[in-house]
Order: sequence, then structure tokens, then C-alpha cells
Amino acid sequence: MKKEDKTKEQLVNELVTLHQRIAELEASEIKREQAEQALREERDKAQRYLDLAGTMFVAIDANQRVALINKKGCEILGYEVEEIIGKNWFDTFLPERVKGEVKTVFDKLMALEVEPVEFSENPILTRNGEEKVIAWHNTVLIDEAGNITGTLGSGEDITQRWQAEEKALQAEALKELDRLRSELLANVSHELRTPLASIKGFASTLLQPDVKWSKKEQQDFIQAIDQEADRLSRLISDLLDMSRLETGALKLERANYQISEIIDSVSGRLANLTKHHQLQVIVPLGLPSVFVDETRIGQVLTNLVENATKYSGRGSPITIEVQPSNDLIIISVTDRGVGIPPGLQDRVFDRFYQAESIATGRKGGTGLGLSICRGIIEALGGKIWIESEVGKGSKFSFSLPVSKREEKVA
Amino acid sequence: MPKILVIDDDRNLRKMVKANLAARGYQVLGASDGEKGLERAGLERPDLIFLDLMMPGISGWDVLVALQADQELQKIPVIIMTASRREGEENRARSMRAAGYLVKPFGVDELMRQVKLTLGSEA
Repeated sequence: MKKEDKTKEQLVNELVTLHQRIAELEASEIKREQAEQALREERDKAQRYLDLAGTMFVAIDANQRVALINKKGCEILGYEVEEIIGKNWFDTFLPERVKGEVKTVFDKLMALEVEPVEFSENPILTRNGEEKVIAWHNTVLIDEAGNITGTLGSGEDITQRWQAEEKALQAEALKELDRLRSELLANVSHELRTPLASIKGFASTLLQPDVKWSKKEQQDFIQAIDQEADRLSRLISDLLDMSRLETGALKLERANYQISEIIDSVSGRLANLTKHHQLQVIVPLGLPSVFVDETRIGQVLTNLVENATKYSGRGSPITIEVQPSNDLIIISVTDRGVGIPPGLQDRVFDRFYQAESIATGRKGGTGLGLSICRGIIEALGGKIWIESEVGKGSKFSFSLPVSKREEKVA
Repeated sequence: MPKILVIDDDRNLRKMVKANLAARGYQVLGASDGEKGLERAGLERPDLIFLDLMMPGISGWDVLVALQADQELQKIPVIIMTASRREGEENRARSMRAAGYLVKPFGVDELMRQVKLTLGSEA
């Protein structure tokens, strides 16, 4: 009995212990539930606060998936929250054309290869396929161990402001174009009137009944009329070329030529232009041919040489040099003239700039020559550029692609 | 005989104006840009100046301003010759005391009429 009693006692003890443990467990379970509930409430409260915000919030985890989005974000995107959470942010919500670039930046950020960008702007794709422009403030998310776990972006829909700015920019550009166009027209009109002034003036001079001009004077006046008529005609050709180049209507008659043949074809004109300078032509033997319009390349070459004579002193050297360079032939015209300051070098080929400079820096040309040269060279698949130093001279070069047909033959 | 200075960067136009003035007995001087024009005006004190507006370097406008700033030179009448038809330029030139305004191209009759209007028929 004693043994039984003992066992009984033991049993009671065990039961009490069990009850205690159960009570303890129950208590801890309640605590855990309470804790979970508290956490849930905390989370919901945070979400509620985020949902109250007037800007969109999007958290993206390191695997590019959306971990959190607020109500405003759902509104802007046009999806329910369940449709967004877990989706790849970049693949689902960015337009194709920006996706790659933004993704690369994000991945580099996750790999700690780049510094985070605090402010950024990019378009997003909404449910109906419409794009919206969002201005983001970005924060990098870091866990307790210090690892980057994703990003949190707060974004503002700036589509309307952006569109308005875009529109204003376009209007501004159109206005500027309009201004340049009327400026060009005024300059062209001025340039046409200038040779006409001498033609009209000398014709009217010869017609004066009250003055008896000598034979020599008459000859002189008629020669001036002749010169100015040529100048007017050149100007009109230049204007037509410019207009054709602009509309892509310039006809190019292309064939395979040796560059030396083209230089020969304009050698008479070049010699005439450089009669007060020392012209040197350097062409290596055995160059591949170029597939170009002979007349147009001749025109570019004489134009560059003419410029060189205008802006360099009498007797100074002018050099035409031809050099091969990979699949290109490079032709350069070098003078030891006044040179062009660095700030203006980029602009000498610009038509509008040229047109503006007609008014101030006229040197007897039409002011359109270099922009026509650029148009011709680019239409033939080449490039034209300038190297210059004030007081030392200028070097204008252009490249022409080597003709492919001959390569096959060779 | 009145002395006339012709300032224009266009060689043929300068020659045309000079020939016509010289043939009618005026003493004529030429200058191919604004800087040379101002220098000759200061040295020669002409009775009349023909002035182009658009020239490289110092423009005709700059020449007008410089002439007006000089107590002696501001008395010389200036006739503008220009190929520009920009709005408001004639008024601007007149407000800078230009005595005459010729738009290129012009005939000799118009040229001589402006000379006589400005200098009287003394020559």
C-alpha cells in the first residue's frame, strides 16, 4: 500500500508538473499569439500608414520581386495588391526600352558594384499599357547583418508635369527653328542683294547720260558686272545644293575613282585658286579606290582649298595630303593661316551658324560652303572634321570609305 | 569741292560709288572696313560719309556710334548703304542721326539725289 501510496503521490506530482507545464505552454502560446498579433497589427498599421501616403511606395527584394507596395502604388499601376506582390518588378512594370538599363543598375547595386542613386526618374507601364513617368527617392534596404536585401522607392507620378515640360521644350525648339529660319532668310536676302547692288550700280552708271566714260572705264565696269553675275550664280547654286542636301534630294553619281584622278580633274581650278600660295599635293601610290561622285568630291576639295587661301597669307603653303587608314581614305587640306578658336571649331560646319556669320565675318564666300561640304561627305558615307590652332593654321580633313567592289576584285 | 568718304567692304560697290562721285567732281576717299573708315574720317574730315552696315570686324553700327561720340565727327552727315531689309533698321539708323538711307541695289540717280539732298547742289 505504501508502495501504491508512493506511486500515487508520484502520479499526483507528475500530474501537477504536467498541468504546470501545460499552463506554462499555454501561457507561452498565448504570448506568442499575442506577439504575432502585435506584429500583424504593427505591420497592418505600417501598411495603413503607407496606404495613406500620397506617393507610391515599392520595396523590391534582391531577386527583383516586389515585396511591398502601397495603395497609391496600386492605383498608379492599375493592379490589385495581390497581383503585384511577388512579381518581377522590372519585367512586369517597366517599358521594354528602359527595362534592360534599369535592371542592370539594380543588379549592380545589389552586388555592391555601384553607389545607390538617391533620386531617379523613369517611366512605368500601367495595366492599360499607358506609360507614367515616376520621380523616385530611393533607399537601400539593409538587414541586421548588414547585407543589402533590396530597395525601397518612394515615387511621385510626374507624368503631367513631364508632359508639360516636354511640350514647352518642343515649343521652344520650334520657336528657335523659326527664328533661325527667318534669320537665314534675312541673311540670304542680304547676300543676294550684295552682288546685285554692283550689277545694278554699274549698269546704271553706264547708262548715265551726263557722264562720258572712257573706253577703259567702260571695260572695267562691264567686267565688274560680269564678276558679280558669276558670284550671284555661285550663290544660287550653293543655296540649291544646301536645300537639296537638306531634303536628301541631292543626286550623287557614284563610281570607282582613284583619289588622284579626282585631284587631277580639279587641278586647273586649284592652281588658279592658289596662284598666290604654294600648293603641295602628297598622294601615296597604290591606294585603293573610293566609290564616290567625282564632281562633288572635286567641289569639296576646291572649297577647302579656297577657304585655305582666304584665311592664310600670300605666299604661305597649302598642303593637300591623302592617307589610307584602315577601310578609309583620309584627305586633308592644311594651311598656315589665322586658325579658328576652339570654341568656334565645332560650329564652322553648322549651316545656321554659318548663315549667322555671313552677316559679320564675310570673306567673299556665300557662307554655306562648309555646311555643303559636310552634307556631301556625309551623303557619301564619310566624315569631315577640323583641327586648328589660332595663329598657326587650320587642317580640314575628310574621310571616304574605300570602295567594296574593288576589294572583291583585288 | 566737297570731300566724300565711302566705307564698304565690297570692292566693286565701293568702286561704283566712287567712280560716279568722282565723275561729278567730288573728291572721293575709300575704306574697306569700319576701322579704316573711322581712321580716315578722323584724318580727312570728309563732308559726307557713305557707310555700309554689315562689315567684318567693326560694323557700320559701331562706326555710327563712334562718329556720334566724337564732337567733331558727329557733324559729318552719314548716308547708310545696306543690302539688309531687316525691320526697324532704317528707323534705328535715323535715330542715330543718319542723314540718308539707301537700300542695295540702288541706281546712280538715287545715289546722286541723296548726295544733293545732303550737301545741297554746291557741286
